[in-house]
Amino acid sequence: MANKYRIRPRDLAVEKIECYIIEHQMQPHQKLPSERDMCKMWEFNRSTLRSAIHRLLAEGVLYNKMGSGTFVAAPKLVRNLQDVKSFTQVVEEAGKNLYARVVSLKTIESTKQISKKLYLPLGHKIIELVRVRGVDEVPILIETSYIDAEKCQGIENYDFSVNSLYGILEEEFGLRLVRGYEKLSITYTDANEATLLGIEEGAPVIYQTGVVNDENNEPIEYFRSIARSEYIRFASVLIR
Amino acid sequence: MASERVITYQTPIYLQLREVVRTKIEEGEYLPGTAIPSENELAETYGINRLTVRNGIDALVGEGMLKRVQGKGVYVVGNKIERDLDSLGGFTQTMQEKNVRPLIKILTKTTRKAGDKYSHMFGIRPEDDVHYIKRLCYADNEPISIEEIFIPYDIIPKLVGIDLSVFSVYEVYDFYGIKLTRAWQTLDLAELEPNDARMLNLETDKSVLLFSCTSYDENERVIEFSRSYTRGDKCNYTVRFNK
Repeated sequence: MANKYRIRPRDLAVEKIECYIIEHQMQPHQKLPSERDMCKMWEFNRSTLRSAIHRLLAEGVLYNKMGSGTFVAAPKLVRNLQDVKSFTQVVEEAGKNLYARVVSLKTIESTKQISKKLYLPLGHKIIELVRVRGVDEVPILIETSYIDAEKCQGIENYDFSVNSLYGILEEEFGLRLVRGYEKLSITYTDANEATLLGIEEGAPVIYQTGVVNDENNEPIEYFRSIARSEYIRFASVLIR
Repeated sequence: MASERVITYQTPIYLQLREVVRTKIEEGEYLPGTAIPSENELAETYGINRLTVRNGIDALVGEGMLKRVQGKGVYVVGNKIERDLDSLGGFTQTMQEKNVRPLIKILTKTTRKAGDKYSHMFGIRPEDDVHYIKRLCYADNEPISIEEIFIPYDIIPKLVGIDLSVFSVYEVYDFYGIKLTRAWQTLDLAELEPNDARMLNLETDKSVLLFSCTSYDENERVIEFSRSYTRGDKCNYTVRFNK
C-alpha cells in the first residue's frame, strides 16, 4: 500500500510500556521508571505517555499509588468460563489465599425472576446466599446465589466463609452442578456494592448472570455476580 | 463437470468466455478475494459484446466461483472449508434484538512494523511487517464494536489486495488454506480514548468490554491477534459450560 501508516503515538506508547515490562522481567508491584524518564527514553511527550498509562491502568496492567508512582499490577486471576471450577479452585490453583465473607444467608420467597430461572412457583422458599470473595484480603467479586430451599434443608448451618458452596451442595445434599450457561455484560456499582468491594460508586464492573444445572439438566442454582475487572479476567477456548 | 465439455471455436462465445475466466481462476491468475476485470474491460479485451460477457460470468456466479457485489465488481471466491457451526464454546455474541443487519466498515487496513510487542506475540522480528486492520462493526446501523486485527504479513501476503468489506478475514483464511483450529479468548473491561468512544456513540462513559483473541493453526502457530472493544449495553455474551 502506498500510504505510509503511522502507528498512533498513544498506541505506540502502550506497546513500549508493555514490552518494557516483559523485557525487564518486571515483577508485580515493581515500580516503572518516572514519567520524565520514559518520555526521554522513547521520545514521547508527556500527554501521550500519560494517556497510555491511563489506558493500562484501566486495563489493570498497571496501578497507581498516590504520590509514589506507577507500578506493575499482579497478573489477573484467569477464570475459564467453560469449566465449572469454583472460584475457590481457581484461587487455589493460582497459589493464592482465598478471601471469603458471607454478607447474608437467608430464606426468601421466590420472585418472578427467580421463578423463571429455577422453574419454581412464585413465593416458593429460596435460599439466598450473598458472598464477597477475593484474594489476599482484596475483595474481587460479589456473588449472589439462589437455590431451592427444599433441596438443601439445613444449609444455613454451614459457614461459607470457609466452605465452598459447590462442595457442600455435592457432598451434603447430593446436588452435582455439571453444566449451565451464563451471560456477561457491563454494569456499574450501586452504593451498597461499592462499599462491599471498597471501590467508588458507579465504577464499571463485569456483570455475570446464569443458571447451573445438575446431570439431569434440572436447574439448581441461579446466580448473579459482579466482578472487578482489574483483578479477574474471564477466558474461554474456541475450537473451530 | 462443465470444464470437461470440449470447447471449440464453434461453441457459443459466452461459454468460451466462461471457460477463459474459469481457467484463469484455476491457474491462479485471478486470485481468490480479488476482483476480476470489469465487464467492459473483458468485452474490450476479447472484442465481444458486454451482454455476452455478463452471460458468461453469470454462470460462474451461479456456480459460486464468483461473487457479484453491487457497485463494486465481481470477485473470485476461493474454496470454502465446511465449518462446524456448532463450534465448541467461546463467547457467543447475541444481539438483543433478533434479525439485526450486520455491517462492517473498514477504518484502516495497512501494514506496519511488528514492533516489540507483536514480535514477541508472533515470534517474528520487530522490523517484520504485520497486517493491521481496524474496523467498525454495526448492527442495524448502530455502531456496536471497534475491532483491531493483527496478522503477520508473511502468513498471508495477499491480504493487501483483498477488499475486506466483501470477504471476511475468515473467508480469506479459507481461500488460502489457513486452518484456525483453536483460539484463546479473554474478557476484560477497558476504556476507549475519546475519538474511538465517539465512533461508538459513547458520550460520558467510555467503558467497554474488551475481548482479546489469539488464534492458532494446527501447528500451534499464532495466526492472528484481535481486540474487540464492544459496547456493553448493546450486546450480550453467553457462554455454556460443562464439567
